[in-house]
Amino acid sequence: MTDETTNTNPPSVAGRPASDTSVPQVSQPVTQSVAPQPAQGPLLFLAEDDPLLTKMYSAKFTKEGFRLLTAGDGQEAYDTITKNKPDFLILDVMMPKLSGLELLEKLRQESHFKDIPVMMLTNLTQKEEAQKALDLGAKEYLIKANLTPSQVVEKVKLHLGGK
Amino acid sequence: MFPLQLAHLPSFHHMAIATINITVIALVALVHKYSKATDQRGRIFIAMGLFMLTWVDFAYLARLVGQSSLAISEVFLRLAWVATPLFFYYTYLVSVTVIFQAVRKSTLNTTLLVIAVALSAASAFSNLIIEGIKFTGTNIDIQYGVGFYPFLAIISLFMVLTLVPVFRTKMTSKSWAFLAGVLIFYVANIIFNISLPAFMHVTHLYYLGDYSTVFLLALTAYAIIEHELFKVRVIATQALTIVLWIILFVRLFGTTSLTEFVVDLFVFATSVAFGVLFLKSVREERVQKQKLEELAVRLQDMDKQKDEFISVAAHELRAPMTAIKGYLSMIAEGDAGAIPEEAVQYLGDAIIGNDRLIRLVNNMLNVARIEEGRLVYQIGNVRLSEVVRRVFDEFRLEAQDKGLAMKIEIPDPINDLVRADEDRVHEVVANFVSNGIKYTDKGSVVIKLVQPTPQSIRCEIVDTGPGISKEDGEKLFNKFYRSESAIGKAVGSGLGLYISKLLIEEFKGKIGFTSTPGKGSNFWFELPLVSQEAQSQ
Repeated sequence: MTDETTNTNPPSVAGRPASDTSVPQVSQPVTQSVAPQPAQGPLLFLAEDDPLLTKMYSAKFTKEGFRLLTAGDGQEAYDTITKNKPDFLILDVMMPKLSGLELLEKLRQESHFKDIPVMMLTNLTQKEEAQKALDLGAKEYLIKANLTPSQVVEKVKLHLGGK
Repeated sequence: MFPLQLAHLPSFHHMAIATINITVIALVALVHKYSKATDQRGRIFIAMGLFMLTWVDFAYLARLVGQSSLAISEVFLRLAWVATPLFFYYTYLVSVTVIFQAVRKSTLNTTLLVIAVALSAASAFSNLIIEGIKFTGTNIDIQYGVGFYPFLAIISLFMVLTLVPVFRTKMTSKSWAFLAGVLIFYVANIIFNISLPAFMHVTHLYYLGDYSTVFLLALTAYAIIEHELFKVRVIATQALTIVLWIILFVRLFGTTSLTEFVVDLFVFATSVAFGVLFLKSVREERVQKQKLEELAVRLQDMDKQKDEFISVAAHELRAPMTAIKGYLSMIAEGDAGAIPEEAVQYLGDAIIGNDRLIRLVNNMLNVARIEEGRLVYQIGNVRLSEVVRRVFDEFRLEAQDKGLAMKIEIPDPINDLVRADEDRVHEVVANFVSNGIKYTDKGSVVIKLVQPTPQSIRCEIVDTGPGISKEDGEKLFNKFYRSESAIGKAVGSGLGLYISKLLIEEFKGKIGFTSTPGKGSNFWFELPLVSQEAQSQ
């Protein structure tokens, strides 16, 4: 999670080595200031506009050893992604400012993000949206309510090549 | 009322003229009534009708008085020829407006009007077109002037210009009708009014060309007010009724005795009465039809609104349910540290309850989507035995609480790889098992996997419940059908089996049940297996 107004700190990430027992707090709009951690694990990015769910997935992903950046709306997501160039994107579809699909479309037009692996994580079950996402090169179109966080992590690991 | 004998014209002419006049007046009235006030075509049609009547009536009158007074006959004839070019001009205008709805003021239109008026004037006041006439016993023989051939050429030009707009646009039933009328009239005209007189000097048949205008007028009327009389059947019945009236009315003028007249009058009167009633009922039908169409539109709107509402509601419900599911599973998996044994159990139950909630919401949302084929499926290779074992674990406690024995029978080895959405298959199995437990009070619920053929696999859920009667059975997989449980109340949302059916069919499988009332039921579904080649991946 990065916050542009606290640029005096080196980039803040939510990641904790096993010895750290504190759980990072998340609030809307996404701000996070933690003591910088040594880089470990792939850098994930999560776009999710419901803070309740952001908190949950953050907890899970960091527990699994991933580094994680989040954003609460499509525009912030775009800015964060372009700035930090994560290894893997997990995008909600229904978000304010820019929808997940619009965001993906925008990213795919930039050379660096043309091939970045993307997973949609949403509660929208329309076939049209799913097809659109797959057409835009998303690896998966997952329905949040049908999966436990562990299952989502499994999917991420699967598409990251089992890192 | 007694026959009018004049000028030795066969009575056919009198009948024809009377019929044509009445028909044209009726058509003008119809078009005036049914065309919208802003529709110029109504007024153009009236002009067309008036000029046509002028033409046909004066030609008829000319023939009628030809024997007694050649001078008057010539006047009538010239008047008829005055009307002719104008009739062609207005026919051209109709052609333009049948397609384009409004007359655009263009130089072409104005020029044509000027030409038509010029021809009319020439016919009336000069000897260019008509030099004179001779009466030859029964017919008028017209002596044509030097301008006759140019006159014909210009009329032919009008004809061509009339046909052009019709062919330039997409043909609708309106344009077909108008085209038919125009062609009938033109062919008759070309033969009887132009070719025969001009090239064969046969002038006694041109009344046929005149009378053919009635077809043009009738079909034009149809083209203009088609929206009111859109069904061919409706128009046909109306037209036939009116034609019947006209014929019966005109017949009155051909009767030769009082008794015959009275009978004919009676027949005419009754036919009018019946006809009016009939036309009324036909119009009623039209009104009903329109109401039905409006209702259908409203229904579609409401359906869309309902769909939208369900979508929004389910989407909103899903977020908190996702959070609950997520956190419960994380705690149960030990992400928050070790938890006491009892807590694990409680968590398990909480997860079951929450999953049931999610399934319910999914059902309500999905049923519309599945029906429309719009649901997102995550298709993959699914091991049916794994799905079945998971469902078994899920419902084991519930069965135990109710005092039912729950068993699972999977032959080993078994070829159970199918291509489907794992969650959906899980849903179907869970639905069957859940129903089995719900409706069985004592005995057992057994989940079986069977291989009926080498290419398919069958999952059966056998219970020892009260069974299902034949009447119930037929409706079981219907939408919203809920049968009574032992308690006597309808339980459940009624969507489970319906959705199960839709899902299994989506995955190219079959679904069904067998049951013996009093003994139990066997709910089953079959799915095609993934072929051996595809399996080695």
